[in-house]
Amino acid sequence: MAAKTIVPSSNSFLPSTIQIGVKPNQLDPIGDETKKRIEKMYSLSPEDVRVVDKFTLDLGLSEEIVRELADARFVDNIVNETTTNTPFMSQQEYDWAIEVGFKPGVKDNSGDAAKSTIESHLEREIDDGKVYASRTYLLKGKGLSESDARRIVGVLANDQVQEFKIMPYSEYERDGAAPWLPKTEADHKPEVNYFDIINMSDDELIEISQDRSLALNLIEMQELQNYLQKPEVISARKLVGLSEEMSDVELEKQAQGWSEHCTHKIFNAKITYNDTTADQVEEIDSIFNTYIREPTRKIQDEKKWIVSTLSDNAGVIEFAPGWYFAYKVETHNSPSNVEPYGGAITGIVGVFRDPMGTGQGGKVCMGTYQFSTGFPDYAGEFMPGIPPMQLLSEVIRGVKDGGNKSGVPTVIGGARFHDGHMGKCAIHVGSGSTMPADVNGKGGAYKKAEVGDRIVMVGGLIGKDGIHGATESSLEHGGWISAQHVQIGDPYTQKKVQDFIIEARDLGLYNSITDNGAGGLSSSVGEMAEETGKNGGCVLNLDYAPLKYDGMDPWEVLVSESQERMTLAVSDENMNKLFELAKKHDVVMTDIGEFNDAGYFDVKWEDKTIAYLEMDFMNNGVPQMELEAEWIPSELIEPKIVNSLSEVVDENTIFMGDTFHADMLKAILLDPNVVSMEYIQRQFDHEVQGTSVGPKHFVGKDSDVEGDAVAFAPVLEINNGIIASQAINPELSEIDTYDMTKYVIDEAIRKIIAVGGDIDDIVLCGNFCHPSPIYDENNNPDGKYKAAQLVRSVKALEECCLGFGTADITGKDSMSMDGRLKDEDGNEIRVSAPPTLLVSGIGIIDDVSRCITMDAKMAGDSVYVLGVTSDELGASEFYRSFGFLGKNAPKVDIDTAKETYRAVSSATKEQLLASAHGVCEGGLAVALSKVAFAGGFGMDVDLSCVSNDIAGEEYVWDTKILNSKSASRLIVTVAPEDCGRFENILKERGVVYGDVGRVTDNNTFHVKGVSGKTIMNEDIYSLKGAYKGTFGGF
Amino acid sequence: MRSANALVINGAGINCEFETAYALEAAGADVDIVHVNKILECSGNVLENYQMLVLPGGFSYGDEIAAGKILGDNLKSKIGDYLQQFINDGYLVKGICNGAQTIVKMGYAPGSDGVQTATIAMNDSGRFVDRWVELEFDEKSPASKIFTNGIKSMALPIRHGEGRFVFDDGVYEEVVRNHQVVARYVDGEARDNIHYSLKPEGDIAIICNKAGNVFDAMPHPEGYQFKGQSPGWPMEREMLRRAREPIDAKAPGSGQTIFDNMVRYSIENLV
Repeated sequence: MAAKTIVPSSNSFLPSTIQIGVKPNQLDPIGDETKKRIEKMYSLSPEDVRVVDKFTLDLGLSEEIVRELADARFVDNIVNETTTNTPFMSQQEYDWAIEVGFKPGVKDNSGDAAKSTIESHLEREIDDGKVYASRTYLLKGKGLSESDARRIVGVLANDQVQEFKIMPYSEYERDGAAPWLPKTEADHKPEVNYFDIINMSDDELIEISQDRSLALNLIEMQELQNYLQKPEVISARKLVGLSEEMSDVELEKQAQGWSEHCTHKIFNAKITYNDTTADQVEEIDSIFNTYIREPTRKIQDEKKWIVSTLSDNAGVIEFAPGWYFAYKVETHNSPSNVEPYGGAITGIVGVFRDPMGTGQGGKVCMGTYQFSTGFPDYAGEFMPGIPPMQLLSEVIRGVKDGGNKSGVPTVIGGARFHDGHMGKCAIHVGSGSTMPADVNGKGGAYKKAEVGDRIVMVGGLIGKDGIHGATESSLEHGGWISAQHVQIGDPYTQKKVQDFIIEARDLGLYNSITDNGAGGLSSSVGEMAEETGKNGGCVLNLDYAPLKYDGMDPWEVLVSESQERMTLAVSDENMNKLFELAKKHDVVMTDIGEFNDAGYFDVKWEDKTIAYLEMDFMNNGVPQMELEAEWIPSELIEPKIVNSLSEVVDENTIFMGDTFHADMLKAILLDPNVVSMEYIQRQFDHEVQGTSVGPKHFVGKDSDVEGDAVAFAPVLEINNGIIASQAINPELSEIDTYDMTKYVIDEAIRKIIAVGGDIDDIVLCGNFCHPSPIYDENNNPDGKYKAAQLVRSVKALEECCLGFGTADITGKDSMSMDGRLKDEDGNEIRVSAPPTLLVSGIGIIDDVSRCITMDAKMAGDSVYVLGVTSDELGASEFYRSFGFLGKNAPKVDIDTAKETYRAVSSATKEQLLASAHGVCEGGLAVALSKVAFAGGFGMDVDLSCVSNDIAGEEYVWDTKILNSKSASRLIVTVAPEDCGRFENILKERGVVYGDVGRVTDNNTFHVKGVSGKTIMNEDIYSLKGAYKGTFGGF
Repeated sequence: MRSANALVINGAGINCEFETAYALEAAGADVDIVHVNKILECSGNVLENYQMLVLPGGFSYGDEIAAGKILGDNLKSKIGDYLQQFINDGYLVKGICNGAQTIVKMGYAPGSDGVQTATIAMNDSGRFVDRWVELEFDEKSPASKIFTNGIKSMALPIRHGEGRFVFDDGVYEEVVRNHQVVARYVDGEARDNIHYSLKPEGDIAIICNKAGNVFDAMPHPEGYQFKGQSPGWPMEREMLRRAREPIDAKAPGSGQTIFDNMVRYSIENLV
């Protein structure tokens, strides 16, 4: 039992510190891991690294109590030792000490948890004061200089959110226990400023937009002028005590609401599209409405199981009788580019809130990821702020902490590398939730805030984190707080919110719910206020908003993107019950206003109205953007493949001797875009919740080969499942985004078919990460081309959605995939990423027991290749390994593909297939070898049996058959007794196929070329070694 | 028929409560999932009507300070006396993953007198890992009369960053003498890369107390309550298919046996 202690009630003692270190005879895994990272990043070899954690208790507690707390609540006696107010000394002498802690105002999860355990121990709450966590790295190494120590800080701290202190060891011995106190006193008195927008010149309008980082252009600023001059607006404002001047609260609210991020101005722009190849000019009024919403509505009309699309936070389908699945994929590119850990953890924890805040509220049941960065081993002349390897490992750490600590299985994902992502990485994170189709008599996907409902905020407190461009303004405030665009997500707080919400939902305690993401309360409350009736409206009282600290201006409170918050609409009679529930779950809940139908977004502070905006103007008033798009295809060259050195006539030739195939296959298996990403997936808990009852992401005999898609049954009581896939191919965008888009959609669908899905039971989510398509003579001279790339991409999307019958139920666009890099001489250049479209497929299946994997299962089985292999090596790994792009992009014939997919689905339903695998990265050579080594079997393959329409001389056939990128192809293995029935199904559907070989038990991947000669005879484990080689096993 | 009652703790970042409860229910137990804050504010003996207390996996209190430390300290300070009595009376306590970390930090395993003699520290690699591992069980373990009856080997998933058992001086030897090591990893990769490979205790996966009624497991038995959860399922399924046997991914998996055993023991001996 805890000792009862009498504690002084006032802050009568100075801050104390508790140091925790590992006992001398114990292993220090964090220290060892840090040592490895330092060696890898900087080629420095410290002899030893040890870690000391410090908690600074600014709670006014006496030294005796702090000592008692250290023993009772901070030390794990078996492996750790602690000191209080004296530096933690290891037995050894060290050379340097580097202490790292958070900047003021940054979310400090460890410090907050430490405070809570102190409060539990003392059995009282401490309102005044905080606990701050910091960590000291003790470094030992001969010749480790101060400048080395400064470089090492690069892997220990991120200056966006952290501060550090480098000390020679002698200084550490003296001052190592000094308090880490990032706080400074708030010296700012909150205020509202008003701007005479009406009387500003155009220059002044632009100036204020830039000064405040509003990102509004002149036309949009002028629209504000027009609004403020309307007589009915003037009189309405007068009634609530507002002049014709606009408050900063209103200005910031409008900037959030009209931001590209929130209103997708580019996807809704009027685009003039000039296709110079067809000599045709088109006017497109919103590519979103034309190519995404319309086809999705058409499909939704036919498929009643598609419940809600493109409107709520996530798309919703009925995946099982009585059960809905909500799905959404987000991007978090810009924050991850500067603070990869914070960007990624905020991204994953943030995207969990989307399906959590959809309809009546969902239980998050899966997470996904896709990281696109520069090549990890990049050693070229350009210097990104964060080297790709470090960026990747930090992003992985972010998703690991965010997903694992949320108790959500991170089921599928990957990493993709391209030099274009050196300027801006694409960090995709996705999530799905389940909800009953019927929630207390309401549809699970239904939400409606009612007039008179209270506006309730639950979850984290509001701070200055995530206020766009607030850096400058915070400096004006005296630099007292680190107001960063980047934040650190807190999965622990959010997990409590999730548990609370599901209980509240099932008790029917709220009418509507949404998450606080971009734009914070300004967006969440603004959107929910539209639900109440014809006019919509609300009164929001910022006095009640729970803040992390004093001194925030009202506009900051309104637009802060502090994480882990949900907004609920709650009827009066349920408020007390909801408060009780919040208390049980230890969730902060605050009543911050009321929904009405008065037509205004009404914000009050200190008994005054400080913002009063017409709902319709606020949410729909953004002027339509106009864009020009011009398609002039790039000049591309198709390299020529020759088989003798004498034929190498120019630089556009690839010399490929008959004996090169095996080495080529190994080289491609080592390509970072082909290799095993098992080392990432193993760090993510992908099995929590007990729903992983189908193929996992990594499959085969040793569970180390990437499968096509994952299947899981998200509700424990039923066998119905979800099959999730992903496809991405930015390289193909360099040829044509039209081909790229069709290719990745086909691939995402095919991967679901391979696992056992059905073409009629698939929906898609498209995430467009695109370089800016806004033409600018100086800054973006190829803007019209990029706009044309976007148009071609969405045109292909429409064609595929209608052709395959797969609705695009949700998605996201990020239209600023551009960055600036410095070369060795310090010159800045602008680098744009290629259009990077991530297509995520969601298939539903009535019994996950039917799902199969891609690995060969038994020797003697027949190996079939379905579909035609064509001369389509454009952007193939083969060409790229020789430095070529090529021009023959793979084409997708939707009708042919559909017949193949229907045939495979019939075969899986009839239980005829032992394995199925889509041919994707690396072509047939990679795909066939993966089927073999995943299963731990050999394979005999005869290329003359592969259906193909490759012309030209015979000696190039082998190379092209093995390396073509042709779409819509699958490899299946079938037991001999099932081959007859399987071939009948193929024939009925007119599917082109080849019976290309057998699974063998001799561990050899043996390939005969079209001429009948053996061109490969490789040990499967040496191929697997290559596949796992680049990033190593974990 | 008589039934046994299990209390499964949730809240505060615990995240395996539902599948753990599902496995217990499938074994025939009546299960209450109770929020940790309700337990902490309960004035009487919250364990009074239960035969089984289960601490599921997760990240209680965000794993801050040390995994399971805050939950253990909070529980011990509020219900420590009741819990001690519960254990002394022979009722069953099962900790899985974060629950196991919590139990050793409270001092209820390997000794069960509330004095901490072991801990579960960070993996050698300093990393979290999710992978399936082969386990070898000690059939002489006191837990084999309650939880692991007749089990010789089994594959289960581990999903942890802190899974390395460390003991106070002399404790490991006693634990071995008493057969309190219930199961060890036999999977080479898991042993070499994840756990403390230089010491004999480096391959410990599950321990128990001397009486065998406190079961402390880093692997997740509830993660193998259905056949389809195993990475070996696709191959197993193929064998069933070729033998024309029924295929059900939700048929009970090996891990379910551990729940079946403890519930049966409770019904037969503790109700």
